[in-house]
Amino acid sequence: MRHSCMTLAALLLLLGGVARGAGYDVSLELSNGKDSATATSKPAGDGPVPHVDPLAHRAVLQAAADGSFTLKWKVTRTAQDQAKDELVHFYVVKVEHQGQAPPPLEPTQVVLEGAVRMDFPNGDTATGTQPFRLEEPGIYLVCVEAGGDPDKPGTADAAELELVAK
Amino acid sequence: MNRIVFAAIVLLGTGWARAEHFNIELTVKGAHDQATAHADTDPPHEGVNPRPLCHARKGEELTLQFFVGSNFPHDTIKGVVIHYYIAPEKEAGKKSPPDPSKPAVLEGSFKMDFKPETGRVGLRQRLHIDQPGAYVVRIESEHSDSDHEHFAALDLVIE
Repeated sequence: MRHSCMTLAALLLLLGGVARGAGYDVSLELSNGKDSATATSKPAGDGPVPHVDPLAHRAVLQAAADGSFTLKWKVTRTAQDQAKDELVHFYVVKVEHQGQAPPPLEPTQVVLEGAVRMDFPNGDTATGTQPFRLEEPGIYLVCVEAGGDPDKPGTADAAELELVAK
Repeated sequence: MNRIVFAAIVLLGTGWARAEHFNIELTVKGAHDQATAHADTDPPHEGVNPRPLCHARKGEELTLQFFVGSNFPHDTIKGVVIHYYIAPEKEAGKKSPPDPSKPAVLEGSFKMDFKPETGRVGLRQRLHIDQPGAYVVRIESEHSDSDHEHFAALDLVIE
């Protein structure tokens, strides 16, 4: 088990900077009612998309750990074809340090995890609003992924940011 | 492999076999007790099924988990809102509505399309409640293009 987790983490590290493209715009906003941070799966605008390493460019929300947080996310199908039975997967998980690749989702470290399965014609959207509180200070990865193959990390369109709770 | 376990549950479903538009399974689990509720219909607003009851202590870690799936055989139901909350109520065991004078402990939602048989949403969340009292835990459909909606509800007593 440990070996498989390490292998998966290594794969995530290697694939983290690879351009993703499952045909979705993914956006998320994390707020504590006072401050907020946002992330999207690609830069705004119609020009060429520059190469971005998501691990090195995550937005960060710094906040008190005893507050209430709300994750709002939106997934929109941008590809022209209809995607059938696609998965939107989102989670808030405690990590050891900033910039860390998405870890295995051990239940003791996961604050919140959810998934939506639906067909996505071009332009169709799914949204979610998920409030949560933390059990302890720490660094948390907040991620929303759409499409791709659940068995192949890095194939989904994803938006992610970090919550630094003190 | 844990990265995809929950997502896989949503992908594969949980083997429901009920003749309603939506299948719902709502569970609250504490350190020593847990309760699970299944789909009921609104109206009447509080449904026909009794609410299961879960006991826990204040500050104890709780796990909220639910799955909602489409069982509507004819077509995709578009733009359905799935609304869920944990809110104070006057008394457990009486199908009490949420107390409007007290804020919800937790309240969230999804808006999505539900394809026949395969449309699903699921959530698992850790939380704790610091104030003793009775709470209603409820998940419900809204705007499902029908003359009735579906929900599941249970009572949670924090001691």
